[in-house]
Amino acid sequence: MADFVVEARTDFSNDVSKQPVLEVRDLVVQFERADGVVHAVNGVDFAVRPGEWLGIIGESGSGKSVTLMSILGLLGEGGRVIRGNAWFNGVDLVQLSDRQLRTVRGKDIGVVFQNLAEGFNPYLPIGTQIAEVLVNHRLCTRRTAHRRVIEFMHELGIADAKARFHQYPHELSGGMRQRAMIASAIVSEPKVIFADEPTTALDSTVQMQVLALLTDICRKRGTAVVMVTHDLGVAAHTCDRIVVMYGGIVMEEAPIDEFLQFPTHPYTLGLRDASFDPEQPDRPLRPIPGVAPVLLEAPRGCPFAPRCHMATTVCRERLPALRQTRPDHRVACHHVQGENEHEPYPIP
Amino acid sequence: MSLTPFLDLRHIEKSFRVRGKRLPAVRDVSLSIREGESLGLVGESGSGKSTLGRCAIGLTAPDAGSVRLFGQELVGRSRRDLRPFWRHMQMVFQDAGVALHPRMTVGRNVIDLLVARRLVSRREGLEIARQLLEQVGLHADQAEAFPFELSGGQQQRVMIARALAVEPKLLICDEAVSALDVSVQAQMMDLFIRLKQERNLSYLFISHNLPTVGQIADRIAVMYLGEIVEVGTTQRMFQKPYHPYSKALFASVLPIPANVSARRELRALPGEMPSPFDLSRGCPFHTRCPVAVDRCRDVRPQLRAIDDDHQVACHLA
Ligand SMILES: Nc1ncnc2c1ncn2[C@@H]1O[C@H](COP(=O)(O)OP(=O)(O)OP(=O)(O)O)[C@@H](O)[C@H]1O
Ligand SMILES: Nc1ncnc2c1ncn2[C@@H]1O[C@H](COP(=O)(O)OP(=O)(O)OP(=O)(O)O)[C@@H](O)[C@H]1O
Ligand code: SF4
Ligand code: SF4
Ligand SMILES: [Mg+2]
Ligand SMILES: [Mg+2]
Repeated sequence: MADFVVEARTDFSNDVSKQPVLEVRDLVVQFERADGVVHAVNGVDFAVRPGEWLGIIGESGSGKSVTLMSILGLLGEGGRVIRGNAWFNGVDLVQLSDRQLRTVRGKDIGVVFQNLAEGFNPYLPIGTQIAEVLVNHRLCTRRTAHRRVIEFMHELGIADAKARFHQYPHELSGGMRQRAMIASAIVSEPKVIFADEPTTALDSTVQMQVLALLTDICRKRGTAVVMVTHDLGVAAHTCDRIVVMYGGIVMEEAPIDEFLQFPTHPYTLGLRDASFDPEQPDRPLRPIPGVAPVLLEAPRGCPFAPRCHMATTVCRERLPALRQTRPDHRVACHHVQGENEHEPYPIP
Repeated sequence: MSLTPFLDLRHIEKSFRVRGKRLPAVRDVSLSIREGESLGLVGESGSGKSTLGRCAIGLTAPDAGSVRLFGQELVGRSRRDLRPFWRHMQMVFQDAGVALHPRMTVGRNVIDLLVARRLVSRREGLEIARQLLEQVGLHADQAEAFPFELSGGQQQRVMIARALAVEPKLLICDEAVSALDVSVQAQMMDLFIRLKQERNLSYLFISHNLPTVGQIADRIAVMYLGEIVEVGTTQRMFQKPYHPYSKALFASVLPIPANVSARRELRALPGEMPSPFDLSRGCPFHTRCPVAVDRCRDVRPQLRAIDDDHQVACHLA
């Protein structure tokens, strides 16, 4: 097997001259439920440029997966995009019909689902399903599809990929399914990959191998990646930019180097305190006290206020706007100094 | 911590048939957990950890070997005969999305086992469910939601609440905190550690997240291609693993660098993964081992004690 070596990337892809391949603006997503409306995503903005690797981190339930699924038209029952755009290749994906979106999903945007059961049909061999992506989008013949899928599975560290190709999803281990899903997201050479917790089922050595391969392929092809992860070590080693979400809102956004050196938002600092640091193995991991809210009404003030040790009256009354605190670094917090860009639009 | 083995697995073998070929998933694995003890199980993806966990709880029948809980043999029992044991031993499954019943509310899912065994009435059960949901950092009112309405990490916590509902003595956690952000993860680990201290709960803690394993485990076992290649106390395993695979595993955890220039290089372990269908000879790690010698290709190393409470399967140990 090839011994992939990827040098640590610097910010090569932050080339401002490049236009974003995907630009999400003021996205608002809600779910109708018997007992009310869940305000899952409350005005999210982000953009990725070709070859750029964007990391989304944040609290469980903060709307990371819903953001990605809404762009792909995969919200399921009761879910609705209330407002916002997702510009891709000059087209607003939010406006497309399900049929039109089907030609985008899998071909132009590859997807690694968080829920492994969502990604695969349990009654078909895994390899057939992945090859299907290529054949359905008329990207190549069935023979070529099979060969390429097996090659990818092999490169992702699945021994005996030929035999594995014919196995059903439940016959593979969790991590093999996850790698098969990654293979299915990259075979069609998409322009953007959405990867929702792509390495949670992988041990540290396989994780390295998968990340080395992915960063290498994406750089060569100029593929943009939007990766949801809770592993700050993984994010730090792969991402060019980081977006931090809480309560359906972007709380902080910065290039990775900025983010590592100057984390600013009180929630982000809480995450750092809860993270394991191999340099200080004996430091106790402190969880952020309290519980994340389920937003059954639009957030009036800062959604983090009930758990924030810096919260004051203004925090409970007004949604903080994302403001520039340092060059290219934006933070949404009333108690962090910054330059106003614009006030958030009220959420219906 | 008492010294009686509580869960005792001896010489477990399990193969699957894949298109006519035999795929050995677990090869002659023995391990035991004492009452109140936590054993961490880590290792290569696909090395048989989940299969071993399922054998321990009786969901997968091993081809050979014995599984004893409080000295009573579980292998060979029907599902029905196993049910009384599930009161004492529960498992949090790797795939929360699949393991939860999609048409039952979250609350009903949590108390499913209690209601099915008529241990509580529905009304009592619902109150228990609400309390358990709060214990795992969710809202009591989320008892009324359906699993598909929850995020990945919320579903995972419902699984944990469900396993805790029967107040087991042993909890098998298969990647139980892997989908959680670090803060909620720390919160769950606090809960697990508290239950360990307060109720003397034992754990078989399967995870790829080595730092969380380090927090809960008293001992750690490392698996590679169906075998345990090293077992030792948590402290020793973190400080000085012996087996070349364990070394690679512990060394590959990505730290949070101070800035971009302090990033580590991402590189795969060199060498070819051997086929799990053909593991007849030699050390299973020899194709990728940086210190392999001639003997490694032909002779399979046995797991043997190199010290008190530390065993390694390597010719050079
Ligand atoms: N189908 C649905 N119906 C109702 N509410 C939903 C539905 N899907 C998601 N939600 C809610 O929307 C919120 C955001 O969920 P989402 O899955 O985006 O979280 P996440 O950030 O991906 O979390 P995790 O890290 O746990 O996966 C959650 O509170 C969740 O309960
Ligand atoms: N029902 C099944 N039929 C056929 N093969 C199976 C079945 N279940 C597991 N296997 C195989 O057994 C081996 C061990 O799988 P297992 O799920 O136990 O691995 P694991 O160590 O839990 O991996 P991961 O860390 O990726 O979850 C794999 O090769 C897998 O493909
Ligand atoms: S706006 Fe107020 S509550 Fe929100 S993070 Fe800042 S200080 Fe805390
Ligand atoms: S027995 Fe040989 S090949 Fe196996 S781990 Fe030890 S040195 Fe490496
Ligand atoms: Mg999610
Ligand atoms: Mg597993």
